[in-house]
Amino acid sequence: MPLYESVIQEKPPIVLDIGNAYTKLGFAAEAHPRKIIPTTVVLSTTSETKRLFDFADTTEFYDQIVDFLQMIFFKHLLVSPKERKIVVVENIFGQTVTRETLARVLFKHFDMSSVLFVPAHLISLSTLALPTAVVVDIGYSEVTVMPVFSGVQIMPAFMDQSYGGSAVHNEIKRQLVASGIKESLLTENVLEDIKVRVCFVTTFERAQARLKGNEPQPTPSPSVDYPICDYDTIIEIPGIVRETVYEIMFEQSNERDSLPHLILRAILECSVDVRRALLESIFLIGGGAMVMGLLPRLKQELQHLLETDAYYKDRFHGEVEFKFYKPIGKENFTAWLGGALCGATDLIQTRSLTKDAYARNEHVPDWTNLCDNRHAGS
Amino acid sequence: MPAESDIKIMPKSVVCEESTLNGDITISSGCVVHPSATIIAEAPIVLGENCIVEEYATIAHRLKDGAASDASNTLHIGANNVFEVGCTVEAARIGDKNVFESKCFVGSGVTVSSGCVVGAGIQLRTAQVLPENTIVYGRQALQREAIEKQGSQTLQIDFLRKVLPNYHHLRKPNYDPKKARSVV
Amino acid sequence: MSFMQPSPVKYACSCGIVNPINKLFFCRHCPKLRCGYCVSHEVESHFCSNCLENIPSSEARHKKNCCANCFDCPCCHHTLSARATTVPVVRKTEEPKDGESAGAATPPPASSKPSAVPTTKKMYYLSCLSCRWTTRDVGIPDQGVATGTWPDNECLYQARFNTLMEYYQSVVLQEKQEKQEFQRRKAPKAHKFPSLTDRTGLTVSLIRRQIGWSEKNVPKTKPLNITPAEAISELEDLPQDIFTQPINLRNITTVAQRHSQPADQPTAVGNLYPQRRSLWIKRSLRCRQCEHNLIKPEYHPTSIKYRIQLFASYHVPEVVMVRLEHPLEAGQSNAILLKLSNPTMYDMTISILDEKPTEEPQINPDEFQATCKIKEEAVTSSPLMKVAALARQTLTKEVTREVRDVANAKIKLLESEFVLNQRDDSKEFDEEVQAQTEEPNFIVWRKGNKVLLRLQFTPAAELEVNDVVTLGFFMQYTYVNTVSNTAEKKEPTTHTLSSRLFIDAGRIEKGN
Repeated sequence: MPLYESVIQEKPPIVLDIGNAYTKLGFAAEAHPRKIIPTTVVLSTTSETKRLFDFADTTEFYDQIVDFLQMIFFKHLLVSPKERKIVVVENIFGQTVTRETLARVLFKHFDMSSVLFVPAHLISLSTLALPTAVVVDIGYSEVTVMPVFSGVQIMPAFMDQSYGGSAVHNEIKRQLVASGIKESLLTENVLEDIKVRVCFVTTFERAQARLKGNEPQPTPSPSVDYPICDYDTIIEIPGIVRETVYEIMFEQSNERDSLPHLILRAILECSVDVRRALLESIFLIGGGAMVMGLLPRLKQELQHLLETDAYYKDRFHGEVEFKFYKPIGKENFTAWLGGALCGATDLIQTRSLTKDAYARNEHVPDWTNLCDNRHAGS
Repeated sequence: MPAESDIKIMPKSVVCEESTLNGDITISSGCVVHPSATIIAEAPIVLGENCIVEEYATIAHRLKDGAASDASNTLHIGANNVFEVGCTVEAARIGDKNVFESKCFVGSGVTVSSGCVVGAGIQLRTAQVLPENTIVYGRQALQREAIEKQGSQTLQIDFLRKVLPNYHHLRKPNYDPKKARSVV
Repeated sequence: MSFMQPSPVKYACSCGIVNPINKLFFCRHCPKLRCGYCVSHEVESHFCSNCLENIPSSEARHKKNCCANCFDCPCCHHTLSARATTVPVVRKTEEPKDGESAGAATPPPASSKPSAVPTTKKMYYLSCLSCRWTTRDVGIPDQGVATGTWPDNECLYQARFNTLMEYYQSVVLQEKQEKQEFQRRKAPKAHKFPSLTDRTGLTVSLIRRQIGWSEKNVPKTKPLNITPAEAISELEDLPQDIFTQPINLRNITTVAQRHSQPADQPTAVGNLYPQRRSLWIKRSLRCRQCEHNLIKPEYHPTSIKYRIQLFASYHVPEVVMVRLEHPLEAGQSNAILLKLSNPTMYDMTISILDEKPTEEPQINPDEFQATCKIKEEAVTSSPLMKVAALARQTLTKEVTREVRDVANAKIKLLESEFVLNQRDDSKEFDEEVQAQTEEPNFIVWRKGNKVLLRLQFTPAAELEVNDVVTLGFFMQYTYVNTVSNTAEKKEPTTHTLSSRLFIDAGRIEKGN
């Protein structure tokens, strides 16, 4: 009876989540990605390594995607892409050129049978079996907030800011250079390693004390001697750097665009009757959400804003307690996991863009494109 | 060139004649020094028991400006160290049971405690202290900590002690600690 | 030809990408040059690069593309090797004496015979020869056998994931059934003959219900119940000692170490577990136009041979740049010496042209495709294969690119064409006995299947010092094809083919 079983046992669809920093790849119906690899491509022509999303024109981008996917299929997943199905987790506000080029590579170069594009924020919720939440994706290049209510993404309430992983890298670099460390030592890899291994989000109380300049200032965490092997030197990372690099997410400014503001504003963009449900269901995904101390800090900041900020005080009434969801896997592949769940169902048969459909007009249907929205869909 | 008599070789050690030994060097019993290994002692070096110094390995104790070249500035190398082919070790202090893998370089500012492994091809130039059981490995010269010290190379030493005399001329042991004590 | 250095002589592939000849393939059926970009890659076989064992693809899929026996170090990603230790085991009737056994010895089962003779037992642990990581570091007990019994790290939330998957599968299935039901009702099947139910407006299910029978169709799948995740307000605070205790970098994993264990991504080195080694594959390459194999490797992992190998250097005359006669100067005529060699068993007639020869090779691609298909059908006339052949026609094709013309020198064409003799390995060792026949004066030297050619050219006058001079020309050559395209013709056919070449002659040394 079960239709889906035969599908899965034959050839499980490939599930791909190409992030700005790391790409998650694996197969549908598996509980974790097979590999997490940096989104960099070794060009087959010049054998230099570069970021996948650095490109001058579409031809160059096309060639890079070809090389990148070639590596994924033959070095990591070890499957012939021909006549296979694939699920691609995408940013719903991603560039059109990305998905168009990707689709062109998948169909024309690799001859795949169908592609299913799934929006990252929405599909992440399937890992919780929930229809409603504010999904906050802390990625490498940006932080995005998308409220989802009853399985519908509330598009006008979408918010994004640029203090993702790369902004934290820049902040580490700025602070370390200010403390007298040569800038040439601090490559992107070193910065990432410092971020992941020694930095954390400090507590609300300590951040407030720093902000107000209270005496005595809290003593910073112990500093760390960090060896940089490429240049064979050892640098000292002051404890204050470890504690404060993530403050860029909570910086108070007149723009009111820090992470807590972003979440509250996104919720305020939604209609009144759904706000309370959203307040009590915040879901953080993305690699940036894995840093120690982020959740408790965010909660305290949100509560604090609600109690002290007049603007929010007027708009949110009654006792409010922010609640968070814990992902079933790790945050950095939660969106992928959603894709893997989606690819395990029959949706892969019914909702995918097939090769034949693509061959007809060489175009990927897009929700922003009027042509695709004119006829009421099936 | 310092006089040969500065080199003290204790009994039961195997020191090949083709090795280059310069300066005030004491080689304790049980050591194996391969042909074409180099030990340069601008200030005295004392090599601990059961060390292996392989081909093209260089152990040097360089004289810093103004430092004395007498016994007060002796480099004591602990027991059971292995200096593999082509390594260059100028460390300030070397404890026991360390392994310097092939072609590694350890600079003069480095203090090596015990049970450390410096991986093949790794260059350590910055002044630093390697805590006990540190293992430096890989292209990025990452460090990790082992739970136990590296096992001693007794089998290898026994084998070398048997084989090397068959093919190489050896330097005779010229210093017996027991006799020396009786003299004093 | 130097294998490691980039060759200055490059050939334009039929897809428009320029490559040295050792990266090109030659499809004998088309017949055209192909490169890695314009052929379709396929997974031929899986194998483990460590134990060199061939693993069938179904088993590889089952094992998640991992070798059953080999492990990678979680610390430095090097291969782990099994090390044996002998552990003395004291066998006694009652209490096993642990004091004598070294470390990890397990007490023997109680069924042992009553003797106090100490026996030794071989125990194995895995150790990395690069970073000296061992399974003892993370407390995995030593195993009695070297392979097969190492624990797999399990996914902590696998059960929850399975529940979620079943839930969504049932939801989607239900949706699908409802849609089918809806469409069935909306569009009743048109029968040839009016039936009773059409007249009376009774439907089959209505009648069945009236009679008292149960519904005919399968009971609808009900979505399973699932408990959604619960939001929590009590969050884990930062550990207080983070502000006071110094951290030991050596106990914190790096990003690469975390990502190599994607399911749990441990932050402490104590949670790194040996990872099963990923398999490798052998690839076969297939021409996208005619679906013939260009490269098919030998099945066995230890074999480096091929069953089919259509490398371009076995079929296309190879051009090697020998030297320039003078240092390069802009606008000054110069000459380059090129060594051409014929890799085939037939003589080749070669001419150098400065534009694409107008007379195209005699075979028309469409015609050729048709003949190919006839042949294919003759071989495999099963209907299934026909369907496959039909499906192939809808295959979307990679767009051919224009060759980027980077030539910036004027070639003085040769006065005549010349013959490149066939390759004959036995002649390699012969004395130079060839009578010096009348040679065109551009041929400097000739031996066996090799010719040294003097080609005159003039770099463009507007080049600056240090600009790269690139020569570009078409080399037309005759190629004797031993595979017949048509079923009836058996003798080899001769094609006149041409390749576009670009030679990186060097940099301008002097200004004019």
